[in-house]
Amino acid sequence: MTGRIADPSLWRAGQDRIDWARAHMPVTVALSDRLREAGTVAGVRIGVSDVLEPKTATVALALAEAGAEVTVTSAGRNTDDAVAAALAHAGLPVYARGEAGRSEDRENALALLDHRPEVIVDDGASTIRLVHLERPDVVAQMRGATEQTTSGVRPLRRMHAEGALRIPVVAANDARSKSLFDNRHGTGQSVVFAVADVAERSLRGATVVVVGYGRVGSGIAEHAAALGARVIVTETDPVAALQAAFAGFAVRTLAQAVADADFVISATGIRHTVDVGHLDALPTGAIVAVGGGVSQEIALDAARAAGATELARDGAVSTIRMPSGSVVHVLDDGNCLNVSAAEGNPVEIMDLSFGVQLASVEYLLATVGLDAAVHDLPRAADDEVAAIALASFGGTVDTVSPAQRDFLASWNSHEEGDE
Amino acid sequence: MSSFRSFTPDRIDALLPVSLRLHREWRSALETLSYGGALPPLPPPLRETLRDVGGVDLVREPDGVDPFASGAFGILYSRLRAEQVLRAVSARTNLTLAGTTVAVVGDGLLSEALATSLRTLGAAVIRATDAPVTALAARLDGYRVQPLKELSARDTPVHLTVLTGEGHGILPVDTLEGLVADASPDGAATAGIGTSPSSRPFVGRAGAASLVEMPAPLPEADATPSGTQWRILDALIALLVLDRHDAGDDDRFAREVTP
Repeated sequence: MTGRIADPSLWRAGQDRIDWARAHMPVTVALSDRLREAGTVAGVRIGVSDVLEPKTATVALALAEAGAEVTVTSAGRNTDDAVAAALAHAGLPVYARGEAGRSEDRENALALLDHRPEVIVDDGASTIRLVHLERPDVVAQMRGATEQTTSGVRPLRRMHAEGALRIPVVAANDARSKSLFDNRHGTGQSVVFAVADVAERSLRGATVVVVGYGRVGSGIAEHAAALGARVIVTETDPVAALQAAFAGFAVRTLAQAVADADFVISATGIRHTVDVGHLDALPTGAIVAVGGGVSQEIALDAARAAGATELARDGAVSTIRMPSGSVVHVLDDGNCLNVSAAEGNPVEIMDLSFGVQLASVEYLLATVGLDAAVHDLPRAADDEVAAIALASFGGTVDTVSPAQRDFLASWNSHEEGDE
Repeated sequence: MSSFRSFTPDRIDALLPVSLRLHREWRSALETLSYGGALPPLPPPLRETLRDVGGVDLVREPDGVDPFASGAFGILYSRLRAEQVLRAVSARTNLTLAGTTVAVVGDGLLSEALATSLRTLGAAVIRATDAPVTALAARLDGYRVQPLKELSARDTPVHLTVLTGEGHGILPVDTLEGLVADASPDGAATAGIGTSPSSRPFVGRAGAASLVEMPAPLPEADATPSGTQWRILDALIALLVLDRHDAGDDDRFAREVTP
């Protein structure tokens, strides 16, 4: 079994885009060089299950160049066929086709498992769960897995609590080098710019309602404000709402905010966040989109059931007349816009996340006796990823002085004047 | 672009809502409006459509009205152009703006708008200018300021250099590193600079620099116009109509184009 992709002839275009990404991924390059020199992954069978685009492809290739036997799979909606072709051209078995539906996606993930991976590098934990459910013989031989999303780590912790997790998993998602940058800066930039590009609308002077002020929402709010939008934040968590107020944003309920909205961007990851009543109350011409997100975060099925009708569809923009008579534009059917209609998060931000993934693989393989549980990446490995990235951005990290170290290490140091 | 010719009056009205309303306020017959300055000419098919459907013949002539003489137009243009440039850099490179160091070259409103947006986006901004008053303001606003001659002598990596075309001529782009974007209205800041292809569309190599091709501020012949390009065109026509019929009332113009 050597792979299943859409069109091998697309490889050149995919390779060009991988080359561009790789040139801006210093952390991934540095850590993969070390893996190669140390022989850490030499001969290790690694399954990469992720969105398949140039940045993830760079990681897969880096692992292969470091000596691993890498197999790749991705869901059809997340697959760039040219990138898949480039990986196949490089000799990696790839099971991913842009037009694949759910059934073929599952077949592709099972095909990856047929390569009997010892390590799975996952995004969303779907393949880790699949191997536990469908290939217990493969799980028995596995050395572990890494997971890079919040929504993937959550069910893995549940599996552990219920005694179902049989391998060590490193929660790459929880490393600071990933969690503090990916959502806020990466998703913030990619969502806001994708909304403006897909809607073909300037944000200057527009009123942008940001629903949810977590890491994604705060990044969206900051980026929209930077492009000249007046931002209104809606939040159900009083502390997060207060943070938004202290960041200088108006804070309202969504029901209040929609009346003035030119754009509504939902960033809660919760189904039916923007419900039929909100859509009904939007001014004609308003644009609605989801960043991050889950299915039906904008309650489009419910809106249709309530009588909303699609008037037109132009590329990724669906124009809908609501029962109130208001005509609104929904971007990419409410899917996660920065992935589905753009190139995803910026390269250097994903370099941090993939650096954490590689550090997690290294930790898994170099650490004897890790039990079947969800583990944090050790602080030193996390710090190393950040230090490499900082240097690439031109920054220099300081060191703790002996006097500082002494102070931090003592419990009774007290100088005159201290309180 | 040939599709301009298929535009209906309703479509043109929707794309140019302010200017065509103002045009009809004074007359419904064909009106010729000319502009000068640095903005590029319209593609001939769009000019024809504007003339036939909108009743406005918009022509670029050396002695036409310079829209940048209007303070309000300069403010609107600089904000829209800054957004357009940053969106293009992001879309055409898929690289981050947060965390980077960006040199904004120039001493005008566009430089200020770019610096303000980039700082809010999380970039460390260097203002590169030889204008003493601009340098004073930038320094007092907390920017690092650099004379133009030191642009390529860098002690820290500069990830992006944006040339605004304001207060500077053609600079030796091939001595720079990182991304370079020419945000001048007509591409004059990099005129004649040769590039070789890169692995990325819209990006050419010039020495160690990667020159990112920028969209024009007004609709172009070979690409579907963006919302920003239509908005700048709408403002330009509105300004010229008011200049013709209302003695160039900048306050009126500002009121008309304020969202």
